[in-house]
Amino acid sequence: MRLLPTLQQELHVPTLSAENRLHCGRFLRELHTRQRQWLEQVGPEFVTLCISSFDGETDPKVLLTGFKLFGEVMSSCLAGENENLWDELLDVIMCYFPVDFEPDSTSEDPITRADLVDALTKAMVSGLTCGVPLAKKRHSAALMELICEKLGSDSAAAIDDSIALLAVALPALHKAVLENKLKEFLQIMVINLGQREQDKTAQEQIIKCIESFASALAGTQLASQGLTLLFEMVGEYLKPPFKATLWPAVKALKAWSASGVDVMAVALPNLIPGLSSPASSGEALDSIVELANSNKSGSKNSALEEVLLKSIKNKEVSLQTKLLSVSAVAACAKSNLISQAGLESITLEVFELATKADSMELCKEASHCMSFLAEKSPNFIRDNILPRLTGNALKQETFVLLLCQFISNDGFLPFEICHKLIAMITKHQFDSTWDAAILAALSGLEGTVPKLNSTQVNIAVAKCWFVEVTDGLIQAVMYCGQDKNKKTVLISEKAMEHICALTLYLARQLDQGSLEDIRADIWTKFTTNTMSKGNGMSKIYFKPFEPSYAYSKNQSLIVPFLTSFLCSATPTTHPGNFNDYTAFCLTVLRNGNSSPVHIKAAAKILAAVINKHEDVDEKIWSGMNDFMAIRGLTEESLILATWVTKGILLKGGKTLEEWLDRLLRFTTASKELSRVAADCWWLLLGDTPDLSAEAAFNIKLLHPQRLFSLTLPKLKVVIEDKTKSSREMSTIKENMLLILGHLLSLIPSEVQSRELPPLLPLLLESLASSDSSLVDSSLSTLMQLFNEGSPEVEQLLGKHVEKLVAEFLRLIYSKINLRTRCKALKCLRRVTRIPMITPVLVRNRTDVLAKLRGLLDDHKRVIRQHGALTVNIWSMVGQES
Amino acid sequence: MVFASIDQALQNATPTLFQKAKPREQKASDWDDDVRDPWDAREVFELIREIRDPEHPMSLEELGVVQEELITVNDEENEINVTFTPTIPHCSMATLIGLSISVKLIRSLPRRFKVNLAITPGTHAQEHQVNRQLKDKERVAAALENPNLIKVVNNSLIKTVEEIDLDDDF
Repeated sequence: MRLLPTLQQELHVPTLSAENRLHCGRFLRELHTRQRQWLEQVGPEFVTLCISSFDGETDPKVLLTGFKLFGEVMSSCLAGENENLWDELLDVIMCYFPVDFEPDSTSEDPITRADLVDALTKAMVSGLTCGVPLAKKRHSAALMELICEKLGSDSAAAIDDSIALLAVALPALHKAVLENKLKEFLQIMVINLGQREQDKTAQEQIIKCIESFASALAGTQLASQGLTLLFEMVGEYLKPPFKATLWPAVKALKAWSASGVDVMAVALPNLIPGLSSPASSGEALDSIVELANSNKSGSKNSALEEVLLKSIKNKEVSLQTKLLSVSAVAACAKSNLISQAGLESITLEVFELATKADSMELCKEASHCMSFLAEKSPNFIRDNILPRLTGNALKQETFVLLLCQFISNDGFLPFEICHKLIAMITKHQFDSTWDAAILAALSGLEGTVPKLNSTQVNIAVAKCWFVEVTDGLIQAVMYCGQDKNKKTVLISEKAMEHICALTLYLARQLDQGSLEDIRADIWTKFTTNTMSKGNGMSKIYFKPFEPSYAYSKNQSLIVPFLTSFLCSATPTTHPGNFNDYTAFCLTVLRNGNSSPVHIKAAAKILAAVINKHEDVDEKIWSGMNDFMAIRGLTEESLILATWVTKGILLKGGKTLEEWLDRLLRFTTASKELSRVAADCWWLLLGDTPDLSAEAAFNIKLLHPQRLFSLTLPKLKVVIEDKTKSSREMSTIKENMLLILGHLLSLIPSEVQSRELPPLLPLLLESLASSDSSLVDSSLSTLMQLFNEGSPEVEQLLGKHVEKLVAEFLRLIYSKINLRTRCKALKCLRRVTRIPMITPVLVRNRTDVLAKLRGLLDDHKRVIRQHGALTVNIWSMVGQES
Repeated sequence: MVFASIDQALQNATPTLFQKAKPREQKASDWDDDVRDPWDAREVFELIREIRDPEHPMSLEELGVVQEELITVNDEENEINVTFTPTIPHCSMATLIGLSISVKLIRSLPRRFKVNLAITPGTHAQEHQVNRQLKDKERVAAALENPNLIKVVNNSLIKTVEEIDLDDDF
């Protein structure tokens, strides 16, 4: 008990050195932690000691300790019910807000501004939750006063810190204080919103702050008071003709929706006049969408229903406005702002749009909107809309698209809808007037079937799909016979893309038993040549893998379906994996007449087997090795090498390097084949649906890095090979650059930035080459790096910008083809978008502009156009816009 | 006025909108280096059609301010005439629009061309004053030195410097 008076009399902390002040701070914190019981008896005296010790402190380290001490002292309520002490405590710390501090970069253990802000914030709000009613009230009042004052200041830092402080303090602030300060707070926030309209981040923060404030008032009378006040401030801006002030006004009101009040009801009357003029209806609808999306009140609004119905029916508006009116319906339906009766009449109008609008974009948007309406009134849709989507009505693609929307809606029968569509696809494929509807159904199924949640429905849809589509496809190719021009829509390229995507997905939905049965059935149909159509002379067999059979060419069009199925549901047999499936694939390879389509199918299936099995049977490896040796550097062997390499690469096998060498050897083949081979490297890392995670392939995370690190040294060896003639060398270099471009664009950014520096001289050297195709591919590689590379790569290129600009300027006047000159100009424009190099660009601007002048009168218009664009972009370098 | 800083009255809140012209038809000779492509009104129109109006988020083409028919090009005589039509006769933005067109043409055309830029006769109350200002080369040059003005002009030209989508295999 004697210590405290002694400390008070003898210890004059402000007179000590910074180091000793810090010790004192630590001592007082220690005392507070260890001697709590004793301190409770002498609380006010201890608080007074703390205040006198740190009032006016400026050293950051001492302050940090001081803030922590004050926070602890306030949390432990040592000031009790003493008003003056609480006020003094607050005064001492609040004068540091907002923190004005430049960190000392030379210090070993620097304190950051964030450290101080964090400690100060905690200290300032600690009194709010300490449990002393007096403290809460006084703290709340003082904090809100401070926050409102700083929010109204000119300093962006003060505003930002105040918003952050408010976010932390809000949940604990005294409600009476919020009520008192409501108007002032809203006024300041709305003014800030207008003043900082160019600063998107600041605006988002302000909106969040209003939202937090509104949430804190949710369910209280203050919420509707706040809305009234806010509307008094910004309501005028919601009236047409709209000005730039419309958006901050809508944003502020939208943020206030977080309080649960019905903002739409208040704002709508002002917005409605805007809907009657074509110049303002778009903005009015956009505002309705914004307000509806955030509306949490769920209050039905008859005026809104009327407005929506009118705008959906209105034919005298632009497509953009019409699309907006559909979005507004969807947003209002989602937020439950429309009554059941309103929903029904609006649904009928949206149905008209979805099925009869002139624009396909509008039909799709309206169909999508119907799925939201279906969520809200499934019975009405089932009874009034679905009966209209049957029979010949489905001949219209808009009806089909609409039906697809309901597949994943709760309250509907997804299997029945899918079954109806699959049956329609196969049945009507022979009548070309159904083509658009069939494509729409395939696209719709592809988009909605993966959203189905029920395992049973998935299995049922998958079974139906494989049974019906297999037969449908076989019927299609049998129907075509040998006629190249006779095709059904189901075997068109576009339809096959959808079919393969759905097959990949649905194959994995089947249960084990059904899968094996279906796989065996499809396999038998495709490989045993037993299916036929017709009799006698006109009898046609289904032999898609029999190249010598006259009908095989058209029949092989559906082989990708089988490939996708087996890549996804790859057959597994134990212990070995040399089975009927793999043996057949090797037979296809051995058949000298097999076309690239057959080889591709066999290669992908083998790649799937290799990827999905630990120990691949030796017979499979030797069969493939024999094929590679016999076929040499041909298109067929390139196909096998590419897909097998990808299969191994994805799972990370020992044989990867050997297969990469094989693939690389193709770059020395004939000019045409080597070019194709170089492009095949894109497939190794690019998106290939059949060999992907969707097809359940084993994929190692770091496979792109592995490919890059294995390939790069090999590329260098080939480039530095002096044994080739210069002509051969230029083709090889060109191919290497292509490979490099593909790899660089697909590998992760951290590898890019690590590997690029040694490769840049190679790219620059190639730009100076006399070989125009090498120059062209180098420009493509650079552009690829600019567009798809990481920010680090962009910065790296930025370091060489002067050399690059000089090369581009030389190229635009050189005697190379027009497209390459345009590419050089495009690159010259692209460099201006590299961040952080503006001073370098500004230094070169005059020179670049002078050199570009000549292009503006080129004899070719295309060069003049690119030239003018480049001059304009370089003219703006370093200027504000 | 809580939004005083951004609250400015629009002079023409409901302008009439015009149909945008279709892209120029591509010809095989466009990429033939041996064929010379002559200058024509369409090429000059392409340079200025996307300039933004200072008041609206629309282009000068959409507002009917610039039209291909109001441009003449005499390649041999090195002369280009461009007239533009403000949306309303009292439009106070006419000089600024003219300045934007002028800057765009200065930056995009070869120096051999003499460009005559003026307001379409009879379409603006202060036609002669604005024309005089636009003809005054020193005035235009001085405007280009003014950072605030060049910021406004660059903003209106920003759409005209978007990447052109040509069949160039990139």
